[in-house]
Amino acid sequence: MVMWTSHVERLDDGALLASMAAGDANAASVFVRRHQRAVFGLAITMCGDPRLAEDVSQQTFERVWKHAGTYDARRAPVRAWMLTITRRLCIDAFRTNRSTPIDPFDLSALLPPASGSVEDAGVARAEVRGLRDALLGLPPEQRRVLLQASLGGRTAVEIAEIEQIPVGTVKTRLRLALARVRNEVRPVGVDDV
Amino acid sequence: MSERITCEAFDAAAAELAFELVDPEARDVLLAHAAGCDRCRAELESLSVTADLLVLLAPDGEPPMGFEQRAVEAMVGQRRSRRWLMLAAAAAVLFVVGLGIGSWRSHDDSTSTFRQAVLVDDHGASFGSASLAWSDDVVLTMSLKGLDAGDYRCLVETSDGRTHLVATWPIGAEGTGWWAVPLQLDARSVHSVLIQDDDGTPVASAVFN
Repeated sequence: MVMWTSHVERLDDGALLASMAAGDANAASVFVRRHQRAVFGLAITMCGDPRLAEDVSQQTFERVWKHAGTYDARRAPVRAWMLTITRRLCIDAFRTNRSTPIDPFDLSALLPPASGSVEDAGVARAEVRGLRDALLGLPPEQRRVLLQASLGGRTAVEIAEIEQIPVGTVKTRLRLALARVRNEVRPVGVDDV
Repeated sequence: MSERITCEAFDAAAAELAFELVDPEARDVLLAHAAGCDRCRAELESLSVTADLLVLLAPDGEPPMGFEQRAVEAMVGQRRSRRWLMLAAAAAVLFVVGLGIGSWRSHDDSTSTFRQAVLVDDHGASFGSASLAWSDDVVLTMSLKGLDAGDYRCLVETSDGRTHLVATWPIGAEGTGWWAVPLQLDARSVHSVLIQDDDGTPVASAVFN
């Protein structure tokens, strides 16, 4: 029943967070190694600027370290919780720095995911596939709006300017798209690791 | 003073709110409505959960050289202030059990050591795992599953036969949880970890050596 290992890599994400909340720097090191590509990938996708993306990524891990004890497994998998922090920081950063987020026409090219690291991190393959399939099942005009709001971090007004459509139309498409994805994707379980 | 809105108006902005893309003034109005409307509050909650999951579809990217080291140094750099917060939070438990938190010293990965053991009951059923990691500090981490909701006590047995109550932690209806607690013990002296329910009945144990 005893497993010996020379590294903390064997801890799942939830246990790593618990260790980080207790101040374990080894756990922090493993956590960064495990998730840095996902964090930087989202940051560079949203910000478009490598230097800004690096700053955002580092701030993400600092916040994870600081708030590890507040993670609620019932709400989201660890990776989604962490990437939500990244997304918020990106929005703050490119609104402050007025950097240019990724071209919305490129966002659709992000589907399907370019790498398998989501699965590697333990998020169930079927659940991620279900999320992706739900997006691919949307009408293209709804999918574009949804991706611009999510991975683009753009407001309805900004999307309306890009798409050359009324703001009300953007809000309607966004609401319909998000509700449809919600209805088609079952909640991701807490045992994501 | 605050503007009132209808459920229809809330619906129109709910998705944007779920993505946290509305300005602060509009957000306050929307949240004030949700606070007083069960239906809209539930709608916002479910949309927000979905909105948060969409970030999982972003592609990975290769960070610049040296990023990992810089990030960890930035995190651990917060350690001193975190230490005082943790001391305050842990003080009640540690006062009771007579365990303390060791002083912070410089971090050195090369000296870290780690042990892990499966938590099992008398019938061999698994309830997760216990991990003991130490370098400058000793941290016990528990990954738990399959437990009934309630409060559980965590005890550490050392090789001298003594048993130390480490903490009491709650488990919710989902039956899972992750716990971690720093120990001021020689990690090599830790023989096993025992989980008891709040009546003191043994639930599971993990033996390290």
